[in-house]
Amino acid sequence: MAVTLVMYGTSMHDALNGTVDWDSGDIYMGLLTAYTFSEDHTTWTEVKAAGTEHSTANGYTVGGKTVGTTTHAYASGISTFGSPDVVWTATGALTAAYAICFNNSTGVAIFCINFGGNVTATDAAFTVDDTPDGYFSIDVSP
Amino acid sequence: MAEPTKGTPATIKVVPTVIKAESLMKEPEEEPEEE
Repeated sequence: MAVTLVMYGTSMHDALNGTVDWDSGDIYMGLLTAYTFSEDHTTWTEVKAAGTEHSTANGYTVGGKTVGTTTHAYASGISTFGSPDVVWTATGALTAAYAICFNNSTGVAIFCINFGGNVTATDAAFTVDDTPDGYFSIDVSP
Repeated sequence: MAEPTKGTPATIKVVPTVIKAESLMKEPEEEPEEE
């Protein structure tokens, strides 16, 4: 299954105007079992209205969880944004198809990770793992 | 004593998205030649 990450249209707008505080410690990730993506979804609330958040069960709690201390790096014209692995401990079978990153203070939706289908962890770790290059990068090199 | 049943973990490996900031300074396009 191909995993894809797509940014919400307003996330860059909100990066420019300061609505998203990228290192506030209030960046969250939530899991959805179904969702119809639109780059025009602006908030976590709007995303949930177009999909189904996993219920509070099987190790997941409605509202998602913090991604921890976000990481920011810059080298040779490329800025990256990442975080430690986001881990839920499944009790029974925890199944989801999408992960949404958002700012929990403002509700602004940042990006959507499409797992390419249902992913299930059973009585073990359900992990969203970004690479050393982060979730996304901005490349201004010529 | 039986060993405890191991669970089945799942890991989603994220492929990072690259946002490429293209320069606004572009070479002027050549005008089409008149016939």
